[in-house]
Amino acid sequence: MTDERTAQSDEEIIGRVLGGETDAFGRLVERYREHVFRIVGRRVPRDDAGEVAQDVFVRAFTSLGRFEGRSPFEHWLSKIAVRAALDYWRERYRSREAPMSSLSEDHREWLEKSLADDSASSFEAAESRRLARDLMMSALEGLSPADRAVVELVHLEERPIAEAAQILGLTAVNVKVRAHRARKRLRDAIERMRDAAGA
Amino acid sequence: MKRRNNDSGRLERLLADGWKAGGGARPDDLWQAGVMARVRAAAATPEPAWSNGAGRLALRISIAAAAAAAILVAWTLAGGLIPYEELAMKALDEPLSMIIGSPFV
Repeated sequence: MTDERTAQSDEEIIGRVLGGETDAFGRLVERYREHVFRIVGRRVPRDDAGEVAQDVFVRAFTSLGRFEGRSPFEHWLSKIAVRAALDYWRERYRSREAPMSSLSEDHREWLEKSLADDSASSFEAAESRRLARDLMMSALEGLSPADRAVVELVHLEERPIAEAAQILGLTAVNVKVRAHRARKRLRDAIERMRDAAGA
Repeated sequence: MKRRNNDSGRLERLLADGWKAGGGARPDDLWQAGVMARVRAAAATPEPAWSNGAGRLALRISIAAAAAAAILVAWTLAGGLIPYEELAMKALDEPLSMIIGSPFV
């Protein structure tokens, strides 16, 4: 991958695409698809991740003329990916789709075992991560889309407030206030899950 | 209470780790082909006028002009330069001169 990068920089490929070589965009998709899936895959349900990731690249393509090159293409694309996930939740929030199902027996068991002193879990590591992710996604559903995006950036990915503000197009003060308020809501939601599971 | 708080902190970290691991969705060749099909379709669709540079400038000028007109009307009415009744009568009697005439008559 490093060889390919040195062979042709992002800027060179972008220049070709803007010059009319649409298929050259495929090089950028290949180069950054894992990166975009990492961002989107955390934020939206697994079944929808592929489509949202496609949206990210289509948006990037249609906005490519506005890419000024002041920051690396990867950063610019990350911003589009975070905003695409935010739009995904805004759409769901508007249409008031049914929230995730309540805790399954596996989720309850995972909560109990995770909080037990002997942390030796009967779950395989991958299965354990999947259940943990389901529970976090369920807790996040109680937040507004914007608060959710702030919590994901600031608390879960531990990005600086200024960076989160820049990505979301908000002021740093706004992000700080939202982050504080939303984290409290998230903690309350996790507590409620604990209580529901009797853990 | 302290024990519960510690447990909550640990649980939050475990859930965050699970979230960071992602949902396991991975791109494949079929997915890539789907992206490129959509990209080619987007390339074949003419860009809407408002999305290019000149279009955006025209849109901004139109919005600014509309806002200035609204402020001018509000200022004219609030300042009593033209009483509401006179304005209404003028509009009803002579709609054409209302449009092309000076607003300060």
